[in-house]
Amino acid sequence: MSYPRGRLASAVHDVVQGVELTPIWYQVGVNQLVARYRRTILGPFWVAGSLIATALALWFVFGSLMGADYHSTFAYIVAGIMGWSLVGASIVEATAIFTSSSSMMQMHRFPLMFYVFLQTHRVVINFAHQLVAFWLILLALRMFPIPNWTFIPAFLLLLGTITGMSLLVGMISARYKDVSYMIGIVMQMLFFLSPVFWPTENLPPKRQFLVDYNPFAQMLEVLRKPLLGGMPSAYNWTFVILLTVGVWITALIALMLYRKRVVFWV
Amino acid sequence: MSCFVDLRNVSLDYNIYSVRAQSLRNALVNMTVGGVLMRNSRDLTVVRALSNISFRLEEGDRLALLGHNGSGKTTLLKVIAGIYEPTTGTVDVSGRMSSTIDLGHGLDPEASGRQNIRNLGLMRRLTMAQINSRLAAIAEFSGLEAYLEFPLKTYSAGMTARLMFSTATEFPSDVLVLDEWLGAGDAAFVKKAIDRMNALVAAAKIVVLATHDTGLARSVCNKLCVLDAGKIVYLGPPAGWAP
Repeated sequence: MSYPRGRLASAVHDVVQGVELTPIWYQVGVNQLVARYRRTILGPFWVAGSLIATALALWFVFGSLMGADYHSTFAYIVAGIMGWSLVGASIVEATAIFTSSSSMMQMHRFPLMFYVFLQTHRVVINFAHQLVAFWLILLALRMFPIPNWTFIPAFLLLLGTITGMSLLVGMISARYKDVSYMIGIVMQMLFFLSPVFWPTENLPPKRQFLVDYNPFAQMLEVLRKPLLGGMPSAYNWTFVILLTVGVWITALIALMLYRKRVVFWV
Repeated sequence: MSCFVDLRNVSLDYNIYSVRAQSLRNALVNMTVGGVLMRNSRDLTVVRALSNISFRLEEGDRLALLGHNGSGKTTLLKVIAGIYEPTTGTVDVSGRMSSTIDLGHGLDPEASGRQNIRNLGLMRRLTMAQINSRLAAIAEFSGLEAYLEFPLKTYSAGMTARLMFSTATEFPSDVLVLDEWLGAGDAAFVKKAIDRMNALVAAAKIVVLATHDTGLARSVCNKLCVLDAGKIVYLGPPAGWAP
């Protein structure tokens, strides 16, 4: 065990080691999941239950406000909230990545990415349960949308984006305790400013920037369109791919500069 | 493969942030006034926890770290274990490392003792099959057989120490790093633990142990390292040191 000397080398090394530890964070993630839902009947399906409940409430109000046909708006709203839990809510949870793992960080020699992957793993498990609930309900209501194949690359791309974002958010929140509260508020605003439950077409042209330049709106579109059987536009893809590249460059720089110190911040 | 621990000119600085320094508002204010606020106040304290530590341990070495509270023993253990990376200097460790530093850290209070042993094994990068094959031995050595199904939150400090020590020493490792909490065990268990550490040494392994118990240090270890304020004040055989 010796450390790579250069800063860039050790930042890359952190990511590579995190990938190599996949079997461990996978198992630790499963154990934590079991621990979290110990003595509950539904387990992680409680998260799915909350998705359905929120969607029903929003659909009841906004579905009728929008006046459009009920069938398509319901699927749109559920898929929107589900997508938000992947790209938006996960960023709020990411504020606690390092602070909540402080005891593990004082105990084991793991790269920072280990904890980030652990968080992404948790997000994926929750999303998978929501997806199952989503499909089951739409099947029961006889409005099952056949997903487009681009759902798979879109999902994988977004995992990359949120993993990089989670690292950044986790590091800043560990250093500055104010930031975790700030991110909670900003994401709450973005939830309403992004097309989670309102259709983008209804936006007046001068407010269209809310969708065009909003990274969370673009991530949402890339995920939701194929889920409802459509295909994301070239603009959606380009935006999210460039965003992911930018996020990862920033994440590597953050690792280069502050990787060693995070253990002292938590 | 030969195992060794090699530290060269290792120094470690802690940045300790006050409540003010942790707030974003002050960081922003500082940026605009050129960091004057923080430099002149005690908001950011840099503590040199370790200063110029160098030593090399070979197979069969058992090093005891002695020193007052706050002299840097645990910090040095964490540097050897790779949890802290030194600010300057290099740490080279060859061999499979097993460290048990903070009592109770990394354990899940809601999970059973058995599940916690599995988790600890997992963190040491072992497979489930390897872990399960050692479970019975750990249960027996720790003397906790009857309690392993209970959640960890029902354990006393001594029982937790038994569980952690048994787990740390049962899985094969070349370099064993232990903190002073061993004292939480009762006399009978400490004696068993000393026998086991001597057996580990017979198998040509490296042990680094931080302790306040000079007697324990002399009976288990062949090297002493006495720290004061992060500096080595004595390094050598136990016979050569008189407090």
